Amino acid sequence: MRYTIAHRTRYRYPVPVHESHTIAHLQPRSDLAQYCTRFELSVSPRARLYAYADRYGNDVHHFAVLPEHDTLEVVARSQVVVVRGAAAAPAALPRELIDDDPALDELWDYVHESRYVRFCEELDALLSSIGIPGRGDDAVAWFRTAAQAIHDGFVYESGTTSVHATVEESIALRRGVCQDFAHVLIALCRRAGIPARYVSGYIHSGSGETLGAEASHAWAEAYLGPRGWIGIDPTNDTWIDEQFVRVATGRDYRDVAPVRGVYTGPSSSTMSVDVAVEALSPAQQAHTFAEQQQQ
Amino acid sequence: MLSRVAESLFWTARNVERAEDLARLIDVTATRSVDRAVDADRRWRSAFGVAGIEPPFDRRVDRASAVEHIVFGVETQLSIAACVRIARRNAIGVRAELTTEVWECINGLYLFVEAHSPRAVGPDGASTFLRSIRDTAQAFGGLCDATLAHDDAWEFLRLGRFLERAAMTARVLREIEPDAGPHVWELVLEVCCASGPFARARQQSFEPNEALAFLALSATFPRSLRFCLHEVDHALHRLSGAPVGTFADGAERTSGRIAASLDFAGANDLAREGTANFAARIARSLDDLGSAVTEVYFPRVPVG
Amino acid sequence: MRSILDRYAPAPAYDEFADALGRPRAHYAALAATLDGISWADFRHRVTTVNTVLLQRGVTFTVYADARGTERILPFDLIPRIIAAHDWDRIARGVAQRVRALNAFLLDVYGEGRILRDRVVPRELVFSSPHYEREAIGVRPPRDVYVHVSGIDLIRDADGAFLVLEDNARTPSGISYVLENRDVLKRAFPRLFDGYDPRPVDDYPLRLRDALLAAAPPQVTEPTIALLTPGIHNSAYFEHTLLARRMGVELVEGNDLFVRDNVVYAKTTRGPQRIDVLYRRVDDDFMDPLYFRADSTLGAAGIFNAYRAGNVTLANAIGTGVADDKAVYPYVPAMIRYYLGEEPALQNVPTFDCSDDVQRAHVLARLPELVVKRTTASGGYGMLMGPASTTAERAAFADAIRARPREFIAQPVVTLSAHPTVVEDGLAPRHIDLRPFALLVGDHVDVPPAALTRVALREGSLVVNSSQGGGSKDTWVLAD
Repeated sequence: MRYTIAHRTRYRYPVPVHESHTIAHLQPRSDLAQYCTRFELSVSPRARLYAYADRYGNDVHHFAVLPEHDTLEVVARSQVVVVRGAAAAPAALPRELIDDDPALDELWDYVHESRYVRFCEELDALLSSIGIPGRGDDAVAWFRTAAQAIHDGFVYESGTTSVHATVEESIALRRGVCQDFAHVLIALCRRAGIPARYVSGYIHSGSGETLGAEASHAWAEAYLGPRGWIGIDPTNDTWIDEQFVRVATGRDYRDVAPVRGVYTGPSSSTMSVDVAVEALSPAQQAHTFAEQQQQ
Repeated sequence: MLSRVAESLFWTARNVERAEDLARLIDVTATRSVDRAVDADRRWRSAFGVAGIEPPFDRRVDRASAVEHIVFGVETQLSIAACVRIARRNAIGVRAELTTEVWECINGLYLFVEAHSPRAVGPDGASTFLRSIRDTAQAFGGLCDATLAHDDAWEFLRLGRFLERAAMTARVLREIEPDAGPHVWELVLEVCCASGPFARARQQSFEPNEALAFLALSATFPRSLRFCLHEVDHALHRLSGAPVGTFADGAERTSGRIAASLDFAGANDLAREGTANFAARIARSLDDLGSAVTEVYFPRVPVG
Repeated sequence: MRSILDRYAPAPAYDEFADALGRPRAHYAALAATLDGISWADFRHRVTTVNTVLLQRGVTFTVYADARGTERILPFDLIPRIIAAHDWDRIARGVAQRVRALNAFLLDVYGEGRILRDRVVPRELVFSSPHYEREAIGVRPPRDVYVHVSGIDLIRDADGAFLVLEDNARTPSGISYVLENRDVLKRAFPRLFDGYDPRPVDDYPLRLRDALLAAAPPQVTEPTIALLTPGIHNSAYFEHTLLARRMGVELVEGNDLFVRDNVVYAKTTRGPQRIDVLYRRVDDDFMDPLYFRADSTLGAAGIFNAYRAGNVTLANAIGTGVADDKAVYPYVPAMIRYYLGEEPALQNVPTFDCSDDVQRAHVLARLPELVVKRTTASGGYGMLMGPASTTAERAAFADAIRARPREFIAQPVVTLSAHPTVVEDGLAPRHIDLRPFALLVGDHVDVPPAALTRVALREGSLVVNSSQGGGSKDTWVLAD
């Protein structure tokens, strides 16, 4: 599948502010299953853009607007080819193969708490209702069961939580948005000793039923030993397939927030986000393919 | 030097100058009002006007309310006590730029004012108290001149001191009613520390227009508008390095314009414009000058 | 005449001044002779003189948080601590070695992580350290220097051997006392120097400046240094003003700085002034609200971007706190062997790591004999002195250790060496430590002979921290 994505973030300040410094995690990743063929970031007021690769391999952009301004608009346009194929469960995997994996030692961060992924009594209660995979148990099936438990037991409702809901709050309310569901699933994995990380990205809505398509999306990946990092979307209860575009990974939302920043001025501001993910038709795909061949 | 340091020095000097001027204003107004009780209400109202502080609407405007609000007022940044606090707070941040003498002077002034209250000062002690403030504030200026190197830091102190002094003189003039008689002008001269110098300069009988011209246009009296503006102008040129007569930035253009308008004005021009109109115009220009200095030397937003 | 030394009785510890027979050690002989010729009355007079000098200087030590602007000074003890040349050689060698190892460790844990993969230092300890700054992973500081300035705290055990008590690799303070103490003692009591020519301390600021210049980004030809202070309310503000003045660099606060195009500038009355090296006395967390604490105004937004881009040197670099984490301390000798292939010239105090099950059990069983320290605390706070503790205090610590073992280490009580110190009615032994400062200049470590001796003024106390009733002494390092 080939997608074009437009992601616009706009801040409005009632009183002009100055010295805005902003970090953006907006560039889709290029890896074995997807390739970002085009990426363009535009900022208004104009600012010089800088980029670096962070420790997770994400391409991060940052910029500063020093003079006074009362709006700040960040528009990212990207084209991504996804070759993941249809959703499918990986082959079963006995849990101990994760524990014995030589890479486990270096994944310390993914089996411990992080800013938004905290262990708590609510989490332990949820985990014991799902069960902790022991020796011989299939970790793949368990991962799916955990995601399902969230999907079936939690209400997707935007506006119930702030951006910074804790795992404790999300479980207590049994409500949240994709980000909260991802944090809860990650917390379940980590508490069970399975490395897990946060993924931010986009989902293309094939049907009207897809949740989270109107904004940037988030899900979780678990490190399943020899199977590598495997993603599940607890919001839509599905393995990650070609409808998904990965943008950035990290310990939790804090590491990969699409746009965040600081500025000098009064703290009140309003933010609006628009995301459009369009799949190119086969004809369009052929066209852009030809275009690329010529280059 | 760092803009923050320069700005702190500037505001230290401005606030000390303001405290001194207000202390004299209250002291002189109180002394004069004893002689002319009928006029007292008007005089105290104009004192509030000079200070830029709203007089209490539900009370008599008299010496007690002036001491409470203009001297000790806590709800305003404009009272003497507030100015002294602000001056010290600014001085703390630039302690390393100041000599021990200068620091101890400003710290001493602060401790002295903090140790007093309207009650502690009482009905009879006000004059002594206000004189101490005035003396210490004047000593501050003297110590700055005598113990600091006359470099950029000192120029920012000078800039603050003379800009505030000019503004005070303008505000005093602005409060004068068109029909003000000689006794009002005598009070104004005294408030501006000008009774003696004016008498020596004039020697003959008293003319309100001449008092106005003296306070506005004297080239040698250190509280006249013209004198203050020339000090400001010199300080700005020393800071920018531009020769006097040329203009490197908005602050120098504004100060040059005001100074020139005073250089070329005569007593009759002022009389024609009217004291209050003239003073209000100068006060506005001085506000512009303050903004221009801020823009040039202490920009809030870093230069793009 | 009653000499002030008449009633000095050495302590039941290693006495710096007197040997086992009560005779002055060789390098103290001349001082003993001088003190012998001074009456207690005369000496008291000198104490008064010094207090007056300090009081006059006190203006510069002013604590502004106090409305009266009164001063607070670290109590200064007149009897100098003297370090023999051969002892200093060993100290300097050991400190230099340790600092090289700590810097290599930082370069490693923020880079490849070899020492973790080789399991010489447990990954758990590093990754669970509150000061292991993930943003700094993969960001190489200019010239690979992390620990430009450090202070290594040393004590002397009952046999007189120097041991490392802890490392300070973030923003160690105290050098201003070293400079002031020497100056005051010279003025107030020159006679004490008879027969001695201690190595000078007053070139420390210039040596610090050299270290900072050497660490500047390589592409900068004439680097501009600034000292970043949290401001007047910081307890070390005096030190910041003193060092800035003596180095001839600007003393800046966070609001004086801004970042444009990944370059740090100071706002001056003549426009932006580029800053290439920032000797910062502000903690990591407060340096850049964009990456660390968003509510901080002590640093400047974007500084970390400038640092990542290699356009500014931060001294010390971001993330050095993981090297002086008390839980990492037990592994420093192993680091020295691992990175340098050398044996440590200075030993550690034996230390139990409470996150290890076996060691924790041992600690919990022997609390009355041990000193328990919080790995995240400093300044003598959060300690349990076993022998002096109550049952209730021990119970509270035991609970805390079981709940959060990573946050505690324990050590046997080491009786610090003692030194003659002025008390109410003469001289008496009081426990002391030593903090040499080290400057990393490229891959060479400069250990200026300017070390801080802290003294526990309360009789029997082993806690020398100024916040816990400690004072300081002038410290003389002798040349050969």
